[in-house]
Amino acid sequence: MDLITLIMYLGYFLLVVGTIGVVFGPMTDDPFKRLLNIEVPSMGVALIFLAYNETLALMTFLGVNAILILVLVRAIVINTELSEEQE
Amino acid sequence: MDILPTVSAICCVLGAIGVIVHTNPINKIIMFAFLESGLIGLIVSCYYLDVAIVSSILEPIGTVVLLLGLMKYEVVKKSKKKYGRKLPILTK
Repeated sequence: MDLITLIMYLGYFLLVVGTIGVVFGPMTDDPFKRLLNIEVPSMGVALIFLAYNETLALMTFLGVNAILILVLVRAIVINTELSEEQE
Repeated sequence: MDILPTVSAICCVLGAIGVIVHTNPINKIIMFAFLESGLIGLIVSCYYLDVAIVSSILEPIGTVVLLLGLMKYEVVKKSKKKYGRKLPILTK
């Protein structure tokens, strides 16, 4: 099997498995564990970018993904604190 | 086929299954680092070394942010379970 074909099939496998894991996976009532499941289809999209030679898109996606983890973790912590005050 | 893409692909598949299957968040973060190491290996095997530099810099930042956020999330959730029902009575 060619290297590009291997990377493309691997990216689609990660995308499908990660999406099913995010929606139906174990312990997804906890929002932090659901956030950790979200990272798997993100890496699948990065592998598909790599298979189609989109270098600049891959670099931008990795940079934005690191910032997005920061924002989402902060949002989950603030949401937990605010739901504490409402009860 | 070369040995680097094969080992990186095995790392990616095992890391993806491990992130989905594990339920402890520390184990999930460890498996996520495993998955990202496979991604870096596949990028290097395509000779995109500049993208490999960017990915190698940004990946530990994400892991450190996830670990710090996990610690704060556990502290907030534990304090909510301990004081959540008693303090609003005092405030009201």
